[in-house]
Amino acid sequence: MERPRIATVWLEGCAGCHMSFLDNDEALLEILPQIELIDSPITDFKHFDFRDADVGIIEGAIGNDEQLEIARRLRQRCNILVAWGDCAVFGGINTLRNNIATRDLLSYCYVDSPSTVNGAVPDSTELPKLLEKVLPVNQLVKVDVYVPGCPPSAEAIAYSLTEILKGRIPVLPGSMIHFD
Amino acid sequence: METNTEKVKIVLDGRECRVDKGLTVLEATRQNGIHIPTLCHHPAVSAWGGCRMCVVEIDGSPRLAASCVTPVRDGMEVVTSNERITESRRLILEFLFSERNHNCMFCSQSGECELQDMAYDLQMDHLSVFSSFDEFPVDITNEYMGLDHNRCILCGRCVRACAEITGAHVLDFTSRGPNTLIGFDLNETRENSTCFKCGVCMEVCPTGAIYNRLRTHSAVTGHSKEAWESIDSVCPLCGLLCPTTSTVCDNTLLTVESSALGDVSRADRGQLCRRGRFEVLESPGERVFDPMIKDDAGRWAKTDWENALGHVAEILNHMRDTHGGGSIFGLVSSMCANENLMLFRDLMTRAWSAGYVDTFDGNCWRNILNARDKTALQIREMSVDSISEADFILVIGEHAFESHPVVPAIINKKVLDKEAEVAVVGSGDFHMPQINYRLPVGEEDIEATVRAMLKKVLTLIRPAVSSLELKKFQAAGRQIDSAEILEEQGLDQKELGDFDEIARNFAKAASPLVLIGARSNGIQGAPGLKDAIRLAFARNTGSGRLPLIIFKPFGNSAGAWKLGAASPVPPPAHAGWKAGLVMAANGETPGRMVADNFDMLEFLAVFSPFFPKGALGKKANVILPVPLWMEEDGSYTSMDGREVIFKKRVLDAPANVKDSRKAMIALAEKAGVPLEHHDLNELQEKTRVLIIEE
Repeated sequence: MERPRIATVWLEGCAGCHMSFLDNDEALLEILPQIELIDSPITDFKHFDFRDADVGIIEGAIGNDEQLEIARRLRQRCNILVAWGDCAVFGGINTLRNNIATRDLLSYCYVDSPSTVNGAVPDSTELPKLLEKVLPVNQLVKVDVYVPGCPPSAEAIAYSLTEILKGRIPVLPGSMIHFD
Repeated sequence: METNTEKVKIVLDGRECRVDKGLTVLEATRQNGIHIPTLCHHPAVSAWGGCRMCVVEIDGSPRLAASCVTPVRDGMEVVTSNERITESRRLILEFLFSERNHNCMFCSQSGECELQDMAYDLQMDHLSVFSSFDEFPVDITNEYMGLDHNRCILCGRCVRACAEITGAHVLDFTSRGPNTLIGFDLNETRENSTCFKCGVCMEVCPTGAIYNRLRTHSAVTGHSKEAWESIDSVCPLCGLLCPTTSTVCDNTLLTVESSALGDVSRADRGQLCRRGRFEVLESPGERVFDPMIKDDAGRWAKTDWENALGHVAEILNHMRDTHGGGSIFGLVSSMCANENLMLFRDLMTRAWSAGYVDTFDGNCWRNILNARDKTALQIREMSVDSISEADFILVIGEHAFESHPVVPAIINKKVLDKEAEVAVVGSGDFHMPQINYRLPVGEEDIEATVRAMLKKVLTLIRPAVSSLELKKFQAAGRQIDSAEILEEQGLDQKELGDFDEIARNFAKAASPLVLIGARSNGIQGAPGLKDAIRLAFARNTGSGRLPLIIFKPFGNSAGAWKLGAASPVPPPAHAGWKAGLVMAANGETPGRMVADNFDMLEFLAVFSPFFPKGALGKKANVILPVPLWMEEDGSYTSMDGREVIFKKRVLDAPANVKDSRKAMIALAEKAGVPLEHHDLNELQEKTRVLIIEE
């Protein structure tokens, strides 16, 4: 693969996985010349109509229709889809809301919470709609590579990228897998 | 080495091995150094074959077999690991993870979880099945243990441990299928159930389902498990001196677990109790880190050891020289190690010829002495392990096992296994759901009830060893109508029937045993102690030991009494004490008879890890900080007084807290009367000899 084109997206997560990627520090100097980072929250991209990519990377779970749309488009546009972090792999901390009906959730957050006065549930058509449940990426689109961890260690992220650069589908060794 | 056990030949991963017949495949592989992952299996409880993590391939069969429940067979060929087996194990693991909420990032057990470790080992980097996200309840009704059903994998280890190790049978599965939950009794909360909070379920739980509320997140980053240290010691909170393994990190006690869990050769099968597992993680008071002197305004001020010891020695010397040794008293806790007890006794008598030296539980000792004199019997007790052999157990005393929570569990298991019957004389809580006979008489009626019982028993048997005393009783007993005595105490018709049954069964049992509760042998007197001892004597086999165990209030009461740290006479009513020295270990408070004499005190020094409370705190002028029991090596005496058990130090004492023995030796030097024992090993040997060769 010659300078594979990579797109990363940040869905329902905390950006910790991207931070962990940046946490590779000087090792980034070795990785970056080998890749072309076409879309990424790091580059502050605003368009979600992705260009074709070799590798798509998703951080975060899927909790609303916009995120679902992004995940589907990215899947269509890339050859290898990577799930970064516990949210993308398992659903993560976002799934704490999975036992609360979305209507109850919204009315609690925007109307009933003790610190809210005269609140209203935002209903602009521009806003994405919550899904009934937050789901890990692989329950909605096919995922090829999993890098669990909250966040995954910089080492695990670097390892998985390097393996892809070498043309292999990486499977993390047990020592690099952790769920917290 | 050839043994008598029959051997079979099996092939493990291509290697021929000879193993004992009757082993399971799992046991055989472990003996041969082959690792097979397990979840529902725990060496301390019976095999169950529930989780299927331990599957292996046997004789090339297409159906994998659970190795924990498959016995070895001659010629068997076992493959413990290949792609198919690993795939199967990983899929099972994914099912377990997807069934409930096993998100490690918000689990307090993360870092110390067998389920998590296994996922890492098997490289489970995602779930290929859908997660259920169903919500299950959490039981945090108990202050020590939480039960989060969302983390439960229904391996049933807790259910088996609760039944097989403690004999409590409180835990079991409730409901069915995906709604199955671990339940207490008939769907009670933990707090309201008959659970006595021993924590054995928590010790065997492989996940964060049953967790220690006092030590959540103890395996988080920064406290990585690599830095954890395991130290084997014993728990001196009561005379059972249970063997423990303490986990320590950064000089902090993380957990206390049993070091003999499931050991069937022990009467208690290696269980611990609420006190030894949880109470030790809490501090009973405010810690003292430096020697303290009270100023004129009654406030504590820090000082150094030199000054504090000099001050105490000077005042006690002065009191001795002006008012005589009779004006000085000493009081020591029976939770202290043998060495400390002997040094304290020597310090008080040699340095200041103290008029009165006693232990906090001296009254119990005097009650026993009194009973010995009155009955003219040698009171040589059985060991706690002898409960194993008993077939009829007579428990005497109110709340008999309050301070020894493991004992009811031992008895309960025997009753459930139909190895023994148990009768209780006394009211209160016994934590025994299975009591065969019960006479719920109040503290004040125990004496008369036990006396009536003795008379009744003596009409039924001729003791193997007779004494004048018993003969006298026997003659008198024939004329006394026990029923009349008992009716006066308000026992109903059923209880009167029970009374007769108890007497009859006690009289005819092959190995009866009398257990006297710590409280009944207690500070406020010992109702029925004499007659209980006579009862035991009536069934004496002449082996030199009475079928009797007297439970003692503190962890080293037997040692304290044997080493002469307790006074044979009670504190005089108007002792006229001017000064005193106290050694406390765990926030003890003196009894009323001692405290009544505090009015005239001019000076009181206290060795203690904590700021003393109550009368001690009010009167103390100097506090000399000493280590906690877990911060100091020491030897302890078993409750029957026959064995000396070494307690290893688990934690380091704070910097300015002085080893109690060194502190006492230094104080004696300041007082100008050096003690003869400086070498601690020598001291240990001396106390050991004194205790063993009574």
